[in-house]
Amino acid sequence: MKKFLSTLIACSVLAAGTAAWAGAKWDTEVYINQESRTAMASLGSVRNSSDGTQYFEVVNHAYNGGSPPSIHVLAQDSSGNFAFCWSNVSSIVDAANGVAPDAFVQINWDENSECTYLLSRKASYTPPKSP
Amino acid sequence: MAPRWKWLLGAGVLLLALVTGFSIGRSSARRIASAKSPSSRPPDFQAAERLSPQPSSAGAGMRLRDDLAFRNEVRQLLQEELRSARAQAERKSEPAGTTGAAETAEEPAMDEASLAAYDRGQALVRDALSSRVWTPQQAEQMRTILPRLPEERGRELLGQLFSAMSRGKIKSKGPPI
Repeated sequence: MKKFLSTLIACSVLAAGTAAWAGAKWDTEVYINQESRTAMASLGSVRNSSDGTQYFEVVNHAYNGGSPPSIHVLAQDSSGNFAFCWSNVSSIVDAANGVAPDAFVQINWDENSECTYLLSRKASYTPPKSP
Repeated sequence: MAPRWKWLLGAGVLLLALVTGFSIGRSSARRIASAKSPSSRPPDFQAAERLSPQPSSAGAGMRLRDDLAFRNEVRQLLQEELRSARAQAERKSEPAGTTGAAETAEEPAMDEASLAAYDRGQALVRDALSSRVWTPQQAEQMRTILPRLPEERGRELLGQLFSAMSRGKIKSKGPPI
């Protein structure tokens, strides 16, 4: 009995310690708000979500003519709501180029579907994509 | 270019004339007011005047200097405005290519191949609108069309597609492009 209790305590301490070492883990599946013209997601969370509907992508376009590089961002949530924006503004294009594979990304856009803001976050708490 | 200069100069001269007229009118009004009998003014005004020094020739000289300073100030402001307008007009008349790439990037005219590609892209979007589905095959075709189009035209096509998706008129069965 005594041995059982000490084993139980040891396991509890170990489990608690493991939980503390794991660090924060936060998921953000695709969120779209058409009123505030905002969309966001953690790419890993979207990939790992249980539905087969939501996705989030950042696409770069480059031309060998006079046109500047541009990007577009598409987002679709689990209900099928869809949002997109464009930009050829260099600061937004640069930020889009820096989007990491498991990043959290937020976009805002104006009435002409021009991206007005792009936030790209590399963080410890965003999940990696599992297969 | 020349008529614009004339117009600017004319506007400047007219504004100067107006301001000068206003300034002269204001000093005349002051002179008339100081010549009026104190009894024609409100009682509180009369009381205030009794406490304050009466107008003198030195005061009138001061007002004249004020008016001259005011006119000089206005003249200087007008000259600055005209200089600024002139510089702006010169910047606008500079040949394309010297004012920065973003302002001068003009869309090239589409050749026949581009026009045909654009028509195919339009047809793809029309088909998707009627079937309400955007398939991976259509996306692939769109990807082959886009490089043949000027950026603006490609963006226009994708804009039609994405707007329709946004309104729920088309559902994508794969990556949209």
